[in-house]
Amino acid sequence: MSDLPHTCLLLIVLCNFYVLSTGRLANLIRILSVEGVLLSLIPLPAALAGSAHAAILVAGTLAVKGVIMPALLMRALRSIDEPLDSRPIVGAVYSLIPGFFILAAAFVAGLHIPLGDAFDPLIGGVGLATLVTSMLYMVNSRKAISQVIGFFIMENGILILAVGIRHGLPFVIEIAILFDLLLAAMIFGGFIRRMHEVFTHTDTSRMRKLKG
Amino acid sequence: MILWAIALFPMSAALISLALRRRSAVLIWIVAGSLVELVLALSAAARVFRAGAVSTLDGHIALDALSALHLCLVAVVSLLSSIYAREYFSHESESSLDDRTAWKFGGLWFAFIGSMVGVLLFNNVGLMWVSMESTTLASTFLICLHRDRPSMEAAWKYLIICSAGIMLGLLGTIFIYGASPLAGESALKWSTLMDSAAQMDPRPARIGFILILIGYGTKVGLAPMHTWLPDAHSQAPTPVSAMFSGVLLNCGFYCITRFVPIVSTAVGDPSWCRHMLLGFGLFSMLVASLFILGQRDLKRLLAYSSVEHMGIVAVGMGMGGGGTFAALYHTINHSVCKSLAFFCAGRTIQERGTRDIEKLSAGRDRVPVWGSGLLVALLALIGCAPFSIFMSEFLIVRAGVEEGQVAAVALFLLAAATVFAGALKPAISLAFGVGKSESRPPAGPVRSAGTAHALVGILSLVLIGLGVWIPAQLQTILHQAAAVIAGN
Repeated sequence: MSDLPHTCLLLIVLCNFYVLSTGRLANLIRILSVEGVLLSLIPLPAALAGSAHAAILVAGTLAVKGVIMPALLMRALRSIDEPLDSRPIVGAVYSLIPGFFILAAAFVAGLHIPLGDAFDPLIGGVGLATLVTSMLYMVNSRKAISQVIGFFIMENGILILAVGIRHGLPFVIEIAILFDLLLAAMIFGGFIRRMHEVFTHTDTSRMRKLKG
Repeated sequence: MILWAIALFPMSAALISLALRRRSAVLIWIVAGSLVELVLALSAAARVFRAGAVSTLDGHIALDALSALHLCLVAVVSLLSSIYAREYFSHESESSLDDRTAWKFGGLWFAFIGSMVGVLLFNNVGLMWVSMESTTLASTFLICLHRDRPSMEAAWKYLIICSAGIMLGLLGTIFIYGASPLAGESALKWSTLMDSAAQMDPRPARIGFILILIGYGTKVGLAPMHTWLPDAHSQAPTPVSAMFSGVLLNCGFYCITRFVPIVSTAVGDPSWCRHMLLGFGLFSMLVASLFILGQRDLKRLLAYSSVEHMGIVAVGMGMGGGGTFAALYHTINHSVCKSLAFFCAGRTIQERGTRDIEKLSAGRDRVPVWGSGLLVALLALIGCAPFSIFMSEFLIVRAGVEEGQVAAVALFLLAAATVFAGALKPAISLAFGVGKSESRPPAGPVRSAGTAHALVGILSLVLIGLGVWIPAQLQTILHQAAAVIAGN
């Protein structure tokens, strides 16, 4: 049981690679949901040990990141009738190669984050890898919805780093961030639908009217 | 008690807006609501300036001299923009704001004000971050009120760039948290962080500050993270542009200044943070000055001018000595001046049907009140004496010379001179020049309502007044706020 957080983190690394290699938007949203569930399991040992805060956190993360957020994105995806692939700028297979390099570099960098002995370099490595992979993914995607997915994965990466640094942020902040993410998912979902109404597509690489 | 009222009033005002079914009712309600918020903010700020910081909720919500100063600015600019919004939307086509969508505008308007107030009231840097992130969420749909392609594109850029950027601010906050020796629920309180700053591990504190500077700097519009700013400012309806430029950028900067004393103490060398600010500030000034040269879109010109002025504020903070005082003074001047500039530009553009500077000439004959206001605002923005912006820039340069930052002063003057050279001609031709081609046939000069005279007159007088004389009370307030940043 004590190794549950580490198992979850390694599964998240696998999710990152799946994100880089898949082209189907619906699968991306599913993988985002899986990551949310995995993240919600990290405080589970503390919750089973009797911490009420940790229990609320498990339930809240599971509800927001595992269920509601993916559901909102899925609704936005269904409402736009477009080809359901993400059409990245650099193809899936080729973006796996930098993915491997990022993972290796993140684990090396994780050993060197100057945060004292309490810092767990494995968690730091996974957090950094998730963060940088998501940034790469955001830059590499054309569709609005896949950029949003990249943004949410970026947020996951930062929360993983927080777990490594101090076993997570203070409880109030974690809850406030969850609430904020819920709002963000609603706004992003609504925006994508309006974008589709106005442009009849959501390909952000074709929006280049504003310059200078 | 009063802090709760300040924090909760905008949110309840937003809820009330949802019940309004007429656009005229919404436009009156945003004026009334921001007036109430201003009264609340001023009374709380008066208490803070007289008797020191107040706090509630176990110190998680607090108001000190620095946040009180910014709170007053937010409340004043919100009220001015709300008054202007009535004027602006009465000349706008029904499709941009009709009875069916007006309640959304009212709700988002107050939510936007409320989230900025939250940034200033939360003494907990984690909750401050959450509020800053929600300013983005609240204001995105305000940019694309018109539902046309350019404004949707601008709103999308704003939403995705600022959301991703601000995430790095969270990461920076986490690093500061990791550097701090304390843990627990109150560990992220600003006052706790200040008390324990001397025991912080300097290395993560440095990493944290860089991430905070990049993260919140995205929201401030510091170059090279400024790319969303010209688009959002130019495409948003003008009352919203005024709020963005007048106070949203300040709120982002406020977040950075909160971390300056903590990290300076942790690193043990106040000049380290200053050098970072100086670098970003000068770079922003130079980038903005290049884009101002030859800019043809009036609202984009004003947007790049915001990048420049945020750069000036950063440089002021970075100079050290009296620079912090001057930077705060400059913040006030910029908020007043940029509100005036956007108000006038917005109405001029509406009357003339174009935003091309070359086609907008002879503004003083065609739209006398707004045209004159625009001339005053542009002259002030590029740093003409005797306007207050000239005074605060002068104080920043003097602080730089006193502190021996010769290279920084030289670059500062270079960028300021470029802006002056680039924007003086448009400023004059906008007011007096002969029009090349008219997009609408000339009719007699546009008559303006009393509101227009009052807005332009009062703001212009404030700009000149603050330029020749800083009231003693304002000086005390600015010194109190500067002392917070200096960590005393």
